[in-house]
Amino acid sequence: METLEAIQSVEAPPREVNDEVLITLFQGGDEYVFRQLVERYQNRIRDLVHSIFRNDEFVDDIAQDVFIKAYEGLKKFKFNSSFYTWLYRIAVNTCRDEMRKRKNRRFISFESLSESMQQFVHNKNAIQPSDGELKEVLADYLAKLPEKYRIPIVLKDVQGLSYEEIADVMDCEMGTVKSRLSRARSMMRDQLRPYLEGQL
Amino acid sequence: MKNLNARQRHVLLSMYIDNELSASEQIEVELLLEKSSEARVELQELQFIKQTMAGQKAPPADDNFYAQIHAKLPQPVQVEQPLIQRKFVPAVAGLSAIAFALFVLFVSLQSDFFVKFFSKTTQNVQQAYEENVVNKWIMPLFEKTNKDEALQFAMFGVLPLDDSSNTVLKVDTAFASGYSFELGQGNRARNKQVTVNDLYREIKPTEEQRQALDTILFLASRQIEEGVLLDENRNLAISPSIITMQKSLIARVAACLDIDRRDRMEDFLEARNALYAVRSTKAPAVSRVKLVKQISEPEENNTFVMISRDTIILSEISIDRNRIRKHTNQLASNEPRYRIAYEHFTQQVAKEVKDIKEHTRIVRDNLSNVIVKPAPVFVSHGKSGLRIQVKYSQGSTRSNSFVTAYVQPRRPSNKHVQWVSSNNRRPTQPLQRQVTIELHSDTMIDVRENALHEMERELQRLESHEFHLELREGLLYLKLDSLEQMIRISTDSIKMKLRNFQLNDREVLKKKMPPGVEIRPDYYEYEHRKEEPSPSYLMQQYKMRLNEYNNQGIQLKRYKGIHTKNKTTSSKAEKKQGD
Repeated sequence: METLEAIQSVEAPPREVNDEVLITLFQGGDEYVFRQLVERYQNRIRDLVHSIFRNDEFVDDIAQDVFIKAYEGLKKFKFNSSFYTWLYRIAVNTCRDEMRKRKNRRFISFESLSESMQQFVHNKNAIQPSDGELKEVLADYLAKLPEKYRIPIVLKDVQGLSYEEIADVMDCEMGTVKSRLSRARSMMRDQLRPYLEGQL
Repeated sequence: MKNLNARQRHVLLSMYIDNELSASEQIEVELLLEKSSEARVELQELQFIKQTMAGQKAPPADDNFYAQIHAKLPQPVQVEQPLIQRKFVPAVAGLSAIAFALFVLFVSLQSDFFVKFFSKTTQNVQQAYEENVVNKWIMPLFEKTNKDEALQFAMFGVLPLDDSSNTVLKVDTAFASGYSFELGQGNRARNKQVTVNDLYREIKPTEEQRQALDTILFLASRQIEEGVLLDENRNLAISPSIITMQKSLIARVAACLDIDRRDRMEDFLEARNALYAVRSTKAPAVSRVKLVKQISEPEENNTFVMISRDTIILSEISIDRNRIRKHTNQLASNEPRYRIAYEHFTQQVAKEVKDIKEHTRIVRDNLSNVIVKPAPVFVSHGKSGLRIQVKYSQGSTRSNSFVTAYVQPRRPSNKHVQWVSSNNRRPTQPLQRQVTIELHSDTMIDVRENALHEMERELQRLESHEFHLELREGLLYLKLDSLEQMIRISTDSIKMKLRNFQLNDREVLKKKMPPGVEIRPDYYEYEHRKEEPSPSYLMQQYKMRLNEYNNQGIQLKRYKGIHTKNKTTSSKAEKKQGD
């Protein structure tokens, strides 16, 4: 393409501006900067949604809903918390809503779930699963944890938030976060114990 | 050590691996781990789960992730308006005579200059410019401004217009009642030597100050990008905010520094003979948030000085900046970006100003489509090129007290403005003319909000015209010969319009078509689906089209006609035969 060769294609230089500046610009009517916020957080939000739902199909739909809600609420953002905590709160609430919508299909009794998982883990254990398979097992089990345990463990272990941030995102006390996290890990450990014994 | 039950121990271990324990609790856990092998095993298991969990990642995002969000964002459904809103001013007809007189005078004075000034061009780039930039309606002239260029602009008031020549836009605010800018030759060698790193090396800002400076310079570079625009008719629009930005940028940089570093900055500016000096002040450093908020406040006067390629008449027109941002953002996300040398734009000017007769009509048309504000404008030769001086009118951008508190001109009687004084060094040459255009509050102004009127009129005449229709990039393209330019409106609007004319049905549409006219399959598909095409579908269509062009060895086209005149002629002939 002669024409194309004659034109110098140029990459835009990287520009880092903090969230505070971008939000201020947005609130001043500069909606163009919203894209930068999306690009900055899209991976984290998608990871969060993916970890919670364990379903590749609607990760993007839910993550996009999160950003649309953020867009609608950003004009009123008061800087009382960091933007990402605020965004995570929206994401968690969106995921909760979605989980409730899918409750009938998604949730079965925890007891029966435990039994089926035990069976699953034992089957897996018959042939030592690889690390990748273990991740699969873990993710499957995680997706079946009750919502109140699943969300804090994802926020902590996948997203790396502090207890204080998790409490802020989930709108609960720090003590609740501690106990739920501990309980979530305990449940996962119980279910995965046969495999863990082989690994450690 | 307290006696812990299994649950308490588990909670503590869980917090231990999360590093969320107090110092005393941590010691307690470490003692427990020393004593209890059971606790050590439990800790290992918890750590293993935590590490495995950390690797949970979603599959990579689709390239169109943001485009999909953008498509869902709440926005009013409306006809795509021209990015430069043109407003019809009946009373301005009388002004055309004055303006044309200015134009003729100007062309006669400037033609040699323009021919020399815009001499270099290559056909390929020109063509690419025509096809890829002009038809996109509007483009920022400085689309890749970086922080170094913003700093150079602040120090020397010069913006390079292209890489290959020394063409520059110079601005000057050194006279009290207005500002001026000049398109001409400049010396870029000096500017190139100054970088943001040089500044940092000399003033040694703290980390916080450095962040503030980065933010200010980033915003300045964006302001430059948005401040000088080209539209689809190759008109150049310059925001008055660019003019005052030079001074205010230096002021902001100075404002966020402490007193010692402000002194160092003054040394830096002096050593490089910058246009402005830092005023000695004991004012404390201003916070970044305050500075940023000040920059981001919307301009009260959202006007641009517009230089038309056809007329070189200066006017002020309203431009919707949000639409420009959205539009350029869309372009950036959808298509490769090209650096277009300014000379190709200006070469076009040189070519077109030659035919004065033809432009008589265009002058009149253009004048009827701009709103002229009572801003006295002066045109003359500058030191190196075309010089334009605009006097401040009420509401114009003006330096505020914040700016004057921090900077002062290094040379109060700037030589650049000598050309407007009575002591002009070239008094014998009639190079200076003054035109004052004024409209009063009772002037009738008929605002043309959008392209709907155009569309209605053209659709009514549809049957007598060739009909070109193409769906691309989320927009339906309609071309009618008489328009001589592509009209682009949103799919919703065109659908609505077509429905009004009973054209939304495929069969009806066929009947309405002149004989021999084909309609792109894209359009059928779109209508058949009866729903908004998804962004990924549109992108797919767009990429397919590009590949198609590449495979056929066709240069990148913005618009490809559906049929040729030959076809139409033969169809007409067939029709005659049939009759």
